[in-house]
Amino acid sequence: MSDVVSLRNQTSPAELDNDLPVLADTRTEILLRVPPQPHSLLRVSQVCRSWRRLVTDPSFLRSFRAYHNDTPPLVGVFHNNVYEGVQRFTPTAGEDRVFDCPAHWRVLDSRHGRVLCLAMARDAAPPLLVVWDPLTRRCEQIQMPPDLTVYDYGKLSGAVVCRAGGGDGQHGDCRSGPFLVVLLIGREPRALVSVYTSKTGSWGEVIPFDGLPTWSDIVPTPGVVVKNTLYHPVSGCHILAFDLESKAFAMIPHPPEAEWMDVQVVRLDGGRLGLVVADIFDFSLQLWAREDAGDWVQHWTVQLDTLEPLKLQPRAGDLRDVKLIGACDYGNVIFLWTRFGSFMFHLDTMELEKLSYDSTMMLGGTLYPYESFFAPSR
Amino acid sequence: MASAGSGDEKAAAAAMITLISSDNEKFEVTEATATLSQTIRHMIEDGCTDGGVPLPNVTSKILARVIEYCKKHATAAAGEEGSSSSFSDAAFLEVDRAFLEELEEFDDAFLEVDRATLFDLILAANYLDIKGLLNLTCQKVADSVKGKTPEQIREMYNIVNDLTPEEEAEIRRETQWAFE
Repeated sequence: MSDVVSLRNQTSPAELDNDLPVLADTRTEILLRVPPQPHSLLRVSQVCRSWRRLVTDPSFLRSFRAYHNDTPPLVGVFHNNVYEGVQRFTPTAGEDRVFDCPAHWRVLDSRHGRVLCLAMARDAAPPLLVVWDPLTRRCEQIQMPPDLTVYDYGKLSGAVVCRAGGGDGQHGDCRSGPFLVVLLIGREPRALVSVYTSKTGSWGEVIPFDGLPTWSDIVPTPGVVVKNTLYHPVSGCHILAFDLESKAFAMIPHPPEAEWMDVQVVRLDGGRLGLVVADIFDFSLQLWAREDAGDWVQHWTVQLDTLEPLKLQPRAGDLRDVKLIGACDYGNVIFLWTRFGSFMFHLDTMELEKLSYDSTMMLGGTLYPYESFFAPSR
Repeated sequence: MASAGSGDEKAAAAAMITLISSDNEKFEVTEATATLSQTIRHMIEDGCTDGGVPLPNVTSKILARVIEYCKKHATAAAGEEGSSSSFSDAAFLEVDRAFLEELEEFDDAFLEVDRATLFDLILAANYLDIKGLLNLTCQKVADSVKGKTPEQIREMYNIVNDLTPEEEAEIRRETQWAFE
């Protein structure tokens, strides 16, 4: 093999392909099939020049994402339980590295490779917003909007929305593309929304909405973006819809069967709004999808204690508790907490997958999934 | 190896193709088997297969394995086309599933080869343009890098690290998270 290498080295050192000839001919075919987890492609990019040249090529990366159905892998989940010595990030199975999230950052949202955090100041100064890319460690600091008065930052919600490709289009490497930050806060009847545009680097004026129904406060957990609309959870029996283009608001009532229940909004593959409803008395989940006409259609109900591994657990009284604690942007996956641990729940296959959690996840706080392809810089 | 698989298929018995390996060994296969290769399919369409198809890039050892793969998968393709109307849906699905499982087992066993043979199979699949075989063999190599460090990948495939120390430092700086 070394003969081939040295021969090529002499003839064209600049275009040296020093991997095996078989790999040189079919390198693209092989590397397209590498698992989509960021570490795989990162490590491949460090093997040699010819591999690095290939996996940093934008057209290869486009093919790579297409080969993996344009569905970025779930790298892991962030949570906001801050204790001494506790990792804020839990990698999914197969990923062994963790990202360090500073203790004074509260994660508000995570979408398309960006994590939106609220960085609390030590003194009485207002906090900063940080748009963070854990893979490249890039951080962008954004001042709070000057005209939004927040008395309790714990009630503040935010969304980071990629504008590359527009609307619900194909998202690939969104890192360098434009984005919006949407802040929401409110108690019935008034919600306040502020939108930051990365293109101009500025906030628009605060937009008030006086249509929150009785008991309906903005819930400080992430919403979902479907097409051009941000759907944000509200306590009670509604979802707040905010059109990112027209800046118009609408209240979407839950299906009557789901009123006052624990719900999780979810972006279903194919670009539809979904709602998972947990019935804690029955220890069951329901999936509803919103049709284009605006009607909710129930897709299924499932008893959690009929599913592995929960069916092996004793069905004792309050041990059947369940909380919905987050959703992936891709792949129809939600997170749920039970007394037997936190799980990923696949809405399509109804499979439960236990998260390798530490003791803090026993608390059942919201999980913020980090889903991203790795794009090595050139 | 030279005989023609299941002889009771009516069209297959008529159309046989001779493939000639680099070491001049002749393999007679059915057209259904041979046309899993797009390269050979085009040759047949162009009418240039009389007197055999010389494959100067493929040794007899590798060609025998490739034919073994194609025979199995050609039967699979024929089964899919032929049986759809003759079974009730449930029975059809049952047969289908059993067959797919069998095919999967065959593929797994097929990949139990040493690295040199695997690379030769990739080369042959690429040259003969056999999509399924190329996918299968490339996936095997791609899976092998999972969980390996760059150094382990280089050792596995005898790749020389030609990245300059500056490039490596740059990579490390950008992707510190992976090294912590």
